Amino acid sequence: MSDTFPVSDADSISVADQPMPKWWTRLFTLFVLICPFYLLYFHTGAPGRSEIERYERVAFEITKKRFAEIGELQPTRATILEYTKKPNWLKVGKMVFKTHCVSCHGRNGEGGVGPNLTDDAYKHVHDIEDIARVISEGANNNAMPAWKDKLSTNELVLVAAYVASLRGTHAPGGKAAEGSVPPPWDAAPADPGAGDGG
Amino acid sequence: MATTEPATPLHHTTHPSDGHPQFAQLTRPVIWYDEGPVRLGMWICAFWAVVSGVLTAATLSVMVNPQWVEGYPQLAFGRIRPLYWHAAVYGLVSAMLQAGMYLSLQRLCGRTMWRKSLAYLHLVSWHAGVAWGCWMLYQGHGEARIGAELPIGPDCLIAVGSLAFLLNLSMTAMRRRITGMYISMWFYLTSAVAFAAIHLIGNWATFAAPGQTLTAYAGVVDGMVQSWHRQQVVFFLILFPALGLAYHIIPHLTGSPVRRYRAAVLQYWLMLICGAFAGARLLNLTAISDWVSSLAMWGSVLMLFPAWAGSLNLKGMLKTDRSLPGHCMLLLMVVFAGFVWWTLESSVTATRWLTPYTAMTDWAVARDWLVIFVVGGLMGTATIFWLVQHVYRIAAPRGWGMVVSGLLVLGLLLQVVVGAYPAGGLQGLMEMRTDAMGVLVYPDFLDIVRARQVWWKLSAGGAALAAGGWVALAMMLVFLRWRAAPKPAVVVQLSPPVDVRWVEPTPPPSPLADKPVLGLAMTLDQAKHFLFHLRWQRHPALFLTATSLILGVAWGVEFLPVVAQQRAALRIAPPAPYTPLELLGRQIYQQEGCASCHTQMVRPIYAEVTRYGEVSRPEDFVWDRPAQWGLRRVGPDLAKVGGTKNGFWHWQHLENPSQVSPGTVMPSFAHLLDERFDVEDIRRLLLTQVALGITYDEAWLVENELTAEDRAYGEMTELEQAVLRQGEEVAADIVRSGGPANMFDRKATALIAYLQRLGNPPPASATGTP
Repeated sequence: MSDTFPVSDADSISVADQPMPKWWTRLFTLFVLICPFYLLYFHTGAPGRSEIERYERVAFEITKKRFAEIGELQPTRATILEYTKKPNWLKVGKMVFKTHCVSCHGRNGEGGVGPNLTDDAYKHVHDIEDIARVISEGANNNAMPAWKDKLSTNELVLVAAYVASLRGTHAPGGKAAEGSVPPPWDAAPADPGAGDGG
Repeated sequence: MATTEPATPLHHTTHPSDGHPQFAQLTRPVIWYDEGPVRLGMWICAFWAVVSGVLTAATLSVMVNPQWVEGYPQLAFGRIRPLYWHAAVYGLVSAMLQAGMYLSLQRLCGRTMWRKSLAYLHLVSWHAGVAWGCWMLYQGHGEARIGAELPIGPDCLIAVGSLAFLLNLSMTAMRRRITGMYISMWFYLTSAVAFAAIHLIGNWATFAAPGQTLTAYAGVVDGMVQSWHRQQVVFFLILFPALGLAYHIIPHLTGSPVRRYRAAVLQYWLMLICGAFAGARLLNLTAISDWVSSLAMWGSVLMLFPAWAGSLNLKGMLKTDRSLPGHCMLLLMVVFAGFVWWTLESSVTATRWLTPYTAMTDWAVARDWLVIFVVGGLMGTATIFWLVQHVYRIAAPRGWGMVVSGLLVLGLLLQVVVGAYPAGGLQGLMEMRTDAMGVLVYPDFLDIVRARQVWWKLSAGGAALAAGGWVALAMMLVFLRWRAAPKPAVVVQLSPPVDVRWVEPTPPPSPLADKPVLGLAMTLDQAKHFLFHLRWQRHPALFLTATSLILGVAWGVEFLPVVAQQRAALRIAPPAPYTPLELLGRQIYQQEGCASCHTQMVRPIYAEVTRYGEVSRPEDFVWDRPAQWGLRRVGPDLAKVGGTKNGFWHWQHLENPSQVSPGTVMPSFAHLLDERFDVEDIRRLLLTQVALGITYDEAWLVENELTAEDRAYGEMTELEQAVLRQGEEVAADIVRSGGPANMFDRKATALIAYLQRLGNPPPASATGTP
């Protein structure tokens, strides 16, 4: 090879001077040229381009898309009851339940450290509204943690609706019933002024 | 050039077994060099091959089968993971590459090492340090910094070893007897400088209290240093020497030329520059500044090109007309394939769009294994076969060769390619997957654990197979040492290859020569041949200085913004420092190696925030020394776990994880439920915090030993009272949610106090203030 020159004498390795392939040179040049534009785009202080702002925008859009249809829900008896009958929204509640609740209440709500949610008895719930309240505020001095800072109100209502819908499904391997049996969710509230739950 | 005579004069000699068919490959003249450091390196290899092979297989098996070591907390995954890491990276693979470098260096410099004693000091100090460190890790004295767990003593020994190597290598290169430094030498020089610096920076510690050291970094800075250190060690300690050896051994064995000198030049300089910037690549999207993430990302992305340039050369070098033993060719081919895959994968997944799927998952670990075991380990094994021929003057029998390389290749493919990469990909997809409405498709993390178990098992099986290969390698080394041919009695001195004058090649005629162009254009056109680099490579000092400068600048522009972030976080509303009980809980979290499986970092990704909680900010970590950001999510992230579960859940989960989380691979920590903590330990932890400038209640720190009489009346020190107060709060929570009573003084209680605070800290005024 005419363009071979000796570089190492000890081990007689010969080194040749073949050119780099054209695709290599071109691609490399292209990427090196893109790099400063990327850095300029993201790091010259223009608003809305940092990771955290990008995330906030995405989160805002998803929330808007997700809840545009239902608006801001209120954790009232009527609302929760209404959403126990909407399977597509129960799905959202189910996702929240699977993310945060299953570690204590079991994969299907059969109970674990926390009580069984698939029987008819409840420890701190006398009415469907109390479910949202217990999730939001916690119960028994935070043996049931408060979720109001960690979930949005819509998520609270939807997970409450999902938990309400679990009643009476009697998941296999369920924990023994604890507490008292409240009237069926859709029964008219017995005495609106009486129950403070707990 | 050479002013001192080498210990053994240079000779060409013919091999005593010339003509014997078994030694057909050895008929070329052999130059005589110092074999001592190489032989010592090979003994060390044999030792680490057994230890590291067994430890790696054991670690991966214990991860999927935690019940195998129930009752032996020191063997639980979190505790032995740092052990296998150091045995494999600093022990086995380092030893193979070091032994290889000690022969390669002498051959490429045409002389023996500058000081043989420094070579011995390097090997002994380094490997004694690693072995001692592994023993201390087993005893539970690790530093709980992912990839930098060794305590200060072993770290110092390794530092001494690496500085001895740097000095010896530089002096050998300066006083070499061959005019230009061959490509491999560039990689060795950079590796030595870079590793010494990485090791010193990464493990820098302050003396916090008498007899106690603490990492010199806190908060985001330490999180960054840990991740950077691990990445840079894999890159500069393993990959660079492996590439250097590849450039020497492969063309030497196959007789093929290195086809593209300029590809080698581009590969070396650009890999050095890109690699220096890529240190923070796993931290893309975390709490460190976006600027640092972007630099690291571009470092990794642009690395594609120099690595491809290297692949082009490797491909050319692997073509051979000679009949190489099959096992050698197999190893080299797998090294080549592994390197090409690493090239593509690590560049593409460094982008901000793919980082969420690969960082903090098994994928990141698979990538490290690929570089350490497949590229570093198998290149090292090929090197060993080469060393054996030169140092023991006996070719490795074909049978041994096939058993060793067959087991290693099969095992490592199973461990890394079949097991770990798919597990990581699956985890990334499952963790991040949301439907069109932003609803998590796999909300229950246990589903992600269960789905990966079969891949983890394959991985563990592969590691067991590879362990067989490593043990066979060790046995082969012992066997061949026993069969080694003696040094030849007759040494024939040939015309010495000393001071070979460099004949600079004339550049080919430029097509611009007869055109009316500026001289500058001509110069530029000639520069593409990189002949100027032939002059550069006569100067080791140039490579040493340039490496230091490049590393200094790259690391500087990445570290300074992070240091500024930590300062700002301390200035703007930091949370309250850890209470005494929480400090102890954190200590237990560190000792049990919880960060081996649990990260503490929620990134600004919708799926992640939905799953774990609010995005992590630099303020969350200001008091963390060391940071516990972790490496990968075998289990869920814990940055925001506080207040999402009650005390009894944690209690039960520590006692018997699979009871509360069916399908989990978390080991039981039942011993923490029985052991009582010692307030004296807490006082010692407080002292280290005070040394760092955190203010605590004075009364807690005063040594007020109570008399036996006071004790009899139930008197307690201020600190004991403070600890007891919080212990009782946690214990009360455990009781309320259905747990056992009177558990205020257990180690588990302290751990729960720490966990309940994560992501849920009281405001700064509640306890001490900075």
